[in-house]
Amino acid sequence: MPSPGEFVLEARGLSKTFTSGRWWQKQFRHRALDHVSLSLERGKMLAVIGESGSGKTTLAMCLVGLERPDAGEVLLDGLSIASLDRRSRVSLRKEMQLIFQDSSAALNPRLSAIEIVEEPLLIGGYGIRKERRELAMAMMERVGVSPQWAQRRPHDFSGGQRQRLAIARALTLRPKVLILDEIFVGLDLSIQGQIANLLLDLQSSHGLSYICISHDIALATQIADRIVVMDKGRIVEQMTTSTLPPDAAVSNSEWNSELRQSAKKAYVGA
Amino acid sequence: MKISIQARMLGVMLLGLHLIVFFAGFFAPYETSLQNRDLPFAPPAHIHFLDIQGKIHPRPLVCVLVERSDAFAEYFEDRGHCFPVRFLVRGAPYKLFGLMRSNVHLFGVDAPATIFLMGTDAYGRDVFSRFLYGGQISLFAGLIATVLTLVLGALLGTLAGYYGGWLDAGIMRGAELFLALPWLYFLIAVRAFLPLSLSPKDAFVMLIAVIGFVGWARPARLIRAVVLSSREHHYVLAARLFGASDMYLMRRHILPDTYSILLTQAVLLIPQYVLAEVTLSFLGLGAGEPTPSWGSMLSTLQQYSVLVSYWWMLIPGLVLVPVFFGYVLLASELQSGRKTAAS
Amino acid sequence: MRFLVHRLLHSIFLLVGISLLSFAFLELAPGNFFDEMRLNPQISHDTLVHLEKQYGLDHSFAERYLAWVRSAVKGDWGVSFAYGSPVAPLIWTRARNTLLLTGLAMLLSWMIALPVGLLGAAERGRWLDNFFSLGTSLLLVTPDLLLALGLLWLALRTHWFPAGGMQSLSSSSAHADKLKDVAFHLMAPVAILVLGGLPVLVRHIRAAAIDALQQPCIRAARSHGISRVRILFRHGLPLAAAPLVSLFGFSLASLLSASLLVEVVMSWPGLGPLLLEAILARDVYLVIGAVMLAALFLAGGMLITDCLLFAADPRIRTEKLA
Repeated sequence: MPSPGEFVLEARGLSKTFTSGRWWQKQFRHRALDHVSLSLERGKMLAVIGESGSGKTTLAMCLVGLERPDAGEVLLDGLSIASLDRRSRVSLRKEMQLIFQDSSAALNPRLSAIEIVEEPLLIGGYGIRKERRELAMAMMERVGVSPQWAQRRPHDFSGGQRQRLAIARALTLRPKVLILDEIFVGLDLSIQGQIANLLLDLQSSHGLSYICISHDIALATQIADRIVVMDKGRIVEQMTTSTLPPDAAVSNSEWNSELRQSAKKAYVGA
Repeated sequence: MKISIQARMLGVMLLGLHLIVFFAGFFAPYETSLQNRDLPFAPPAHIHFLDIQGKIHPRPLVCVLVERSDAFAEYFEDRGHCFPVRFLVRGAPYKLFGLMRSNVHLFGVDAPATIFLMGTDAYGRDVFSRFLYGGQISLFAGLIATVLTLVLGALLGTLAGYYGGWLDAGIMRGAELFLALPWLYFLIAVRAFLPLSLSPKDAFVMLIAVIGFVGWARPARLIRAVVLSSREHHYVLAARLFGASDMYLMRRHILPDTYSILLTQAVLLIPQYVLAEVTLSFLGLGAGEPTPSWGSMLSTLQQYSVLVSYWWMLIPGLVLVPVFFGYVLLASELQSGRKTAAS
Repeated sequence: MRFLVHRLLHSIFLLVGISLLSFAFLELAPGNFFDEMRLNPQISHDTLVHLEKQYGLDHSFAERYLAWVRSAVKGDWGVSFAYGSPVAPLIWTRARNTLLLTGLAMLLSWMIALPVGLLGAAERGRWLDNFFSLGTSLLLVTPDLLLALGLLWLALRTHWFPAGGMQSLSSSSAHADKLKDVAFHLMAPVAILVLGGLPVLVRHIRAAAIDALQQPCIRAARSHGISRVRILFRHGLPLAAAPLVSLFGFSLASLLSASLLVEVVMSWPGLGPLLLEAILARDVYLVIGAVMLAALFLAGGMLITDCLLFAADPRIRTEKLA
């Protein structure tokens, strides 16, 4: 077992290029990730900011294993995932979960809420049905969804509640890392705040580390410990927010405009 | 899956027809191979409700047929010699689709009267009974062959759509090949190259296998399309992150998306396959004599004399029209139901 | 250009596949042509062995297949056991008869189906459309077999047209009279094919036309006050062209194989009855020849369709092909 290091999750030199077109057509190549490296400290939140098309979602997919990078490696607790055999890889992957942007697409519309939340336990063959249901119910309550709604379908819930369900589902496996892919998109500001508070609350109670992907700089500065800016598949800027003054989230603050300046530099020059 | 009232009613009617055919032994008054050499091409029975004195008789009456001595297959009724039709009679024994024994028939008549609801054929065999038993072959061959095709198509389509790559390319090339085959030619060729005289059960199984095997390509393509998009749903991706196996994903998340397509395909294919069986039997390539099938019953009509003189021999063909109509209506109901659900 | 190459390779693959499949099936089938002869005690075993050798039946599957391919490409499609003569000319005369039948039927079907389908789309929901829909639905549910038997019955009862065959025995040898005679005999089988094929055609044409007419550019034309007829033919038809071309291609592709049943019932001397007879007699090369010719038409039809579509719809050039 590797000694508990500082970084719970590390990416080193991830690259991914997509090609499209058949042999008789002109081929299009799109470099989604270009030697991306980042690290996530235990118990912290890292924000990944960028415009659409900058490679954020591809990064998330590569970290979690839904896409295979052309080059580079991903390390969880110091262990390189690629170096493991299949079985260890599968069980290691469960320690990293992904919450999708569109909550209605991430939940099977045919299943009830409780079936959705207990699914990871069902797949893993955990206990008997009663135990699974109890655990799932407890998790639902923990994220703020009333258990009396357990038999309802996803379309009966609001967007914010669906994201809560998605989070509850992911937490049943007690992961170490949660990757949040634009989960605040489409939610009211107040709901965003509620979900953000829930996440921070869970962070301490469950010992989670987060990677929060977003295009909303203000939100990121409010909740994240460190920020990383991506553009055209590359990381163009990194900074910590811990050194910020308490009112750094205010839109007129000097620090915020500084961040915007550096982001602008990335899009124009580089 | 929303199924409208009209669709349900149609389904029930078709089901009723299939049930009647399934219980052919009960509904048919005679055995299919029972010949009445002295009553060839007898017309459908005249059922009388008035007896010879013109009074209303409590039971329907059937009178004995006597052949005219001067003409072949022309008859007149001996009105003095009439018998009542009795219900729930005991007659020739039969096996309910090979399992239960019984000898109760829905209706029958004492000898020497005969009740040929649809007349007789060249050997004096009751067309109605042969029609019912023949329906077993034609309708159920179509049904079971459809199931075979859909299972094959769903299996290959799912494998192709889910795994992609070489498996997908290979299966799709194969599908194009099968779609490009002149299907009737191929069907005939495949059937004809199997032994021509088989026991009825073997012949039935073989017919089903041949018809069902040829048509897997179109459903497979449709299923593949559904699986391709279904596979990318975020809840499927999420389940993969929970460590789900391919089998679990296909069973729990992907296949349910294909059910509505499978249903519509089934309703479209069944009449086509019934017609395929009828065509094969018509051409002499189905289950051989003496097993009746609607197609083989129709093949005697190729003799001009039969076609012109004995209209009741056409009945197995005529009945196809309302049956197909039922299926076509059902299919369009289901399809419009799916369109309104999607919008 | 690359597209054309791709499609050509595709067609060749198809033809090779079909020929292999057919050969394989014939191989799997029990017995061969000479089984009937075997039962005859007067024919000695040696004669049979000699006959089999003469027809090359003692070679292995691979050898026979390759030999067939080699000679077929040169134009020699083997010999029919039953007729004792080369397969190619046999098939070709019959195929010509079939093509006469189906070609005429296809022409008539399209001539009727196009206006009916387009009008149905234009008058959508109104009495004319409903009337046409009812008619096509009725035709749709009536199997070809029934149509054939029905027309046969009509012919026998009324003698309005011949009940089968291609030529009367008593026809004079004058050219014009012969043509008239054949035309007369064509009436019934062509009618059956047209009636049988109409419903599917009309439905597809109507659907394609409805889709085309709902496009925004058509609505704009209507608001400009352009007459309905003009819209239908000058604006709607080109938009509906792509699915119609596909449909046309399918019609072309099935020219040889669509009429088997009709030919058998009406005793029309086409490819269908020949194939049936050859199959029952296990006349191997004749069967393969007939199937391959039908397959050739199919592959050719599909190739032409793809090329026409490519020319008609520029989107195909850049899009991924399914």
